[in-house]
Amino acid sequence: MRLMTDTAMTALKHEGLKHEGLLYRDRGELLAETVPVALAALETGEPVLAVFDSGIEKALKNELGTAAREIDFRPAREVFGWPPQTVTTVIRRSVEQLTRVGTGATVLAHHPEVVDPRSKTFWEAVLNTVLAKQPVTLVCACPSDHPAAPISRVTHPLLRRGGTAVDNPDFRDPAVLLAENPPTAPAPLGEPTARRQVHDSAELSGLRLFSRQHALRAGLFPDSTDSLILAVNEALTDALERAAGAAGQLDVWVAPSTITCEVSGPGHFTDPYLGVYRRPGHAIHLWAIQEFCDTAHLWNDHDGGHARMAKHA
Amino acid sequence: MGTSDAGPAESIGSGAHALLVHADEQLRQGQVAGWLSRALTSGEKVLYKPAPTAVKVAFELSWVVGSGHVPGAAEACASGQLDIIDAGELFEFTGGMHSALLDYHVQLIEQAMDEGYPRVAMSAEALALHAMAPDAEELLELERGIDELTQRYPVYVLCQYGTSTADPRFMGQMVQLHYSDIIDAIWRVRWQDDRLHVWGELDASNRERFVMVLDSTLGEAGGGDLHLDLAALRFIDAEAAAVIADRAARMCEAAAIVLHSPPAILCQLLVTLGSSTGLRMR
Repeated sequence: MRLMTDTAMTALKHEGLKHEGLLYRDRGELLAETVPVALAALETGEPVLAVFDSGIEKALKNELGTAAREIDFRPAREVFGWPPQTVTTVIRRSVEQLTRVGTGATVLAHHPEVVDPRSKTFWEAVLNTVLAKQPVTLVCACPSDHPAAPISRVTHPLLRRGGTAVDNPDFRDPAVLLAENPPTAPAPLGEPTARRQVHDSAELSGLRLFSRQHALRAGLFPDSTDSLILAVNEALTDALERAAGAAGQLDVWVAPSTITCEVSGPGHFTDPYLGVYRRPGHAIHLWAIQEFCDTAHLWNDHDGGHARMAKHA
Repeated sequence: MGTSDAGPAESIGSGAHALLVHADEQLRQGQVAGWLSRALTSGEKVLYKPAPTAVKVAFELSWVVGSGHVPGAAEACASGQLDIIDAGELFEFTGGMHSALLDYHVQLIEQAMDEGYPRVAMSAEALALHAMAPDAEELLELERGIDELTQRYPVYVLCQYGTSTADPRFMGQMVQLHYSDIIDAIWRVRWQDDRLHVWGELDASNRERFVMVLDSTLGEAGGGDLHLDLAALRFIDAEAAAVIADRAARMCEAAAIVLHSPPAILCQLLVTLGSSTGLRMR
């Protein structure tokens, strides 16, 4: 599968998003590379978001001094502790928020605790497309000896080294990377609280009622319940459209303050981006799933396509 | 007996020319029983055409007249208030030509008025309609003629078509013709007080028909504002919301689709879609 031309890849390197990989040997190099980026952004009045674990955050604040007060620090777990598509959505929304006033923005990110290669490959590759037109510099730091370092080497159009960003000769077409490394199945959740089959769109209304009853049991508020119902409806609709007459399945797990729904169907998802952004000409079901759930994890396996969605009270 | 909760039951089919779209027989019987009961209770003349085969007629009569679902139906049959018309005989009499069928209906209506009935209520089951006018073009012309009759006489009509039996193209034509009053399994739409009122749930099972109604209504609006009353809309899926946004974006510069009391989930969808062009909220 090849969705980008060489021309598009070249444009991607030089317009809108500047997606830089920073492969560092030690903390000193990490700080030496990131602090000037943050200060330069602050000087031009750009908002800066820094997503680090607490140890690095403290060291960065020490280096920045009073300038640190102007930076929005966020724990890495809040951004990266989710399924791969949700990570993409969280980052996209953060960037949209930062650039809303019309300025550019800078995001410094560091997520060495995330070692699932396929998960990281997904969001690092997809962000090149999703944020392509955003005026944002996204610097993703990773220890050079980390198991995820090879992914950073192929998913960033630019590499930061020696205080500057240079073209990355090892950068690979995101669409090809996605085709080679599709998201894998999450850990199984065990026996569901309830299960229903779906064969026809005439059953959607009853399945929405079924989902609503379980959402109420989980203690969700009305607004959250409505969002979940919409996402489940879109997943079921998509499953029916992919299934070509075969049955789909809805599994529900209810826990205090949380409901998880999983929709499975024999047809596979054909959108390599799995709905993380809205593409003209594509059905909007997967996009709506990503937008209206707290977390969403979509994947293909030999049984077909699966969408796991969670919503919290 | 199943009934739809998509809309106020007391007014189902009381529009001049309504379409009942049914996916299952139980739902159809529930809707038609309610419609018949209200017409008989109001002292109106009722002309009803069941499916034309002997078995179907017997079945239809059994639940209309003999089941108790339509109180007073047996007495109304005996008194002549409820006329059960054989669609097969009607075809033999008219040759299935719409002009002859319309003439026949005019005679029945004028006869009922001469007998002192304040209004005439007419309904036909889908197979009866197809039996009266087997040619689809003749049936379409008959429907158009019936539409005109409702403007000339104190007549209201409930046409019944099943989603499983109707050809999709023909069903599309029927939806466009009856766009101002449609009763479907889980949704309903009706043009009233210069607004299109939408009840119930819009999803993949009915989205295509909703879009036809929306487009037909926009055509009638002639480039002016279109008011959608969505106070009783309980659910709308992402694609139906996107269609509303798309049609609003195509409106003339000064005109808009005005959404009255839209459900919160629709507002969220429109915000997430980034759609505001040509839309106004009230």
